[in-house]
Amino acid sequence: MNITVLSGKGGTGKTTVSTNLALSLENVQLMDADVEEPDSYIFIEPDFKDDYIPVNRKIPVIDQETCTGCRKCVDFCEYNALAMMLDEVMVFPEICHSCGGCKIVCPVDAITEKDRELGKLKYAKNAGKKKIEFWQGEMNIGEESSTPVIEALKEHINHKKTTIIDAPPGTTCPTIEATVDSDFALLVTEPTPFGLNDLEMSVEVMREVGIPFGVIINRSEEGEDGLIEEFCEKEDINIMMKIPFEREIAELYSEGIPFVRNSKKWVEEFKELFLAIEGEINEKNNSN
Amino acid sequence: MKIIMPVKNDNDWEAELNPRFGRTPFFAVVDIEKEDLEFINNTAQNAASGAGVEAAQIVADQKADLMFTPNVGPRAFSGLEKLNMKIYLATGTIKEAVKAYKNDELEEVSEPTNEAQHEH
Repeated sequence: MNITVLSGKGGTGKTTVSTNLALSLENVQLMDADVEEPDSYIFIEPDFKDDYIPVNRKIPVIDQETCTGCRKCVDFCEYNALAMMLDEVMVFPEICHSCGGCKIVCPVDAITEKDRELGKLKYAKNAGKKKIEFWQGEMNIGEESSTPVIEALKEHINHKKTTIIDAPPGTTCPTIEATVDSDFALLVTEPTPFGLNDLEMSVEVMREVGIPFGVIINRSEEGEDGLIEEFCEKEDINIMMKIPFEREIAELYSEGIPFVRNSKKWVEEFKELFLAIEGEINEKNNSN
Repeated sequence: MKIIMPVKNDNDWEAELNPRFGRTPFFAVVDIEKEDLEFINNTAQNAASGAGVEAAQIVADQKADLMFTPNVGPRAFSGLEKLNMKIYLATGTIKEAVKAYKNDELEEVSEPTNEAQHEH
């Protein structure tokens, strides 16, 4: 089973939920797909191997001698990764989406491709005290497109385990890439107008991609949650957990300590959350 | 001599230079000897990605001798520096920029003035 943890707004508690959930279950694989700034490792304490798996993409190489300057490649590239400056075709690698189209449209075969590293995958098969399988994607500095790193990370999903994916925040391509093949999505939010606004966007995306989902309210406070509760009730969305706005939880977080570590109560809560997720997935499969 | 400038609108010589090079709505093209001015649409304005590169392409195709601009990003710059075109920093209206150039008050650009704009 594959569960993705996401949120429209950054800083609402994706990492809190993914790491604590992962540490509460057995036979788990945790993937940090927030590749622009992965931080789950702080709570998991993996001993990464020195070597890493490079994430490569193809970029075009133009043979300026063979090129006739017909501009077909420049006109073809929807992303503007190519430009004709005087009689030279320039390649802008960070913008290239590696579609290979320029190579196909070139009438004189002046275009070949080469590999270019844009990110890394790091992993530890038995990370931390709970010995969970931990994977982390990282973008190289200066890169703009994180989706290829997330795609590469997902190739290492272990189907014999429960996989939890910590997605990048937002509702754009990287978040969707981290979510699309999941069995269930946990939308983390906070009881603020910003939290609600971005939750509404996440819900819209989840309905578009057709993945069953539930909501977790982080920094939950009596008298504040109504904002999110009203929305969820109106939209018939299940609120699956509330994590209270408590000083102790915040302090543990600031020290890089997952709050389930010394709390049997919270381990049980997360186990129950997992059972509830299984229940929702089964219900959906049965109704199909 | 032909000069190209990113401008915020097509309001004749009073049009203001645009600090957003790639996504400017228009380019003004000035023939300084003939005192002639025309505006061209910047099709890169709404590009999904690489607006700076596409705008640089539009500028390149105009084969101007000079460009006046308040800003130029790293990618547009790396394309434009291949051209036989000098880039000068300028602000204000087209009229003011041309006047400043004639008075030898503009500074030539030798490197990008700002970061690439991030796009999803």
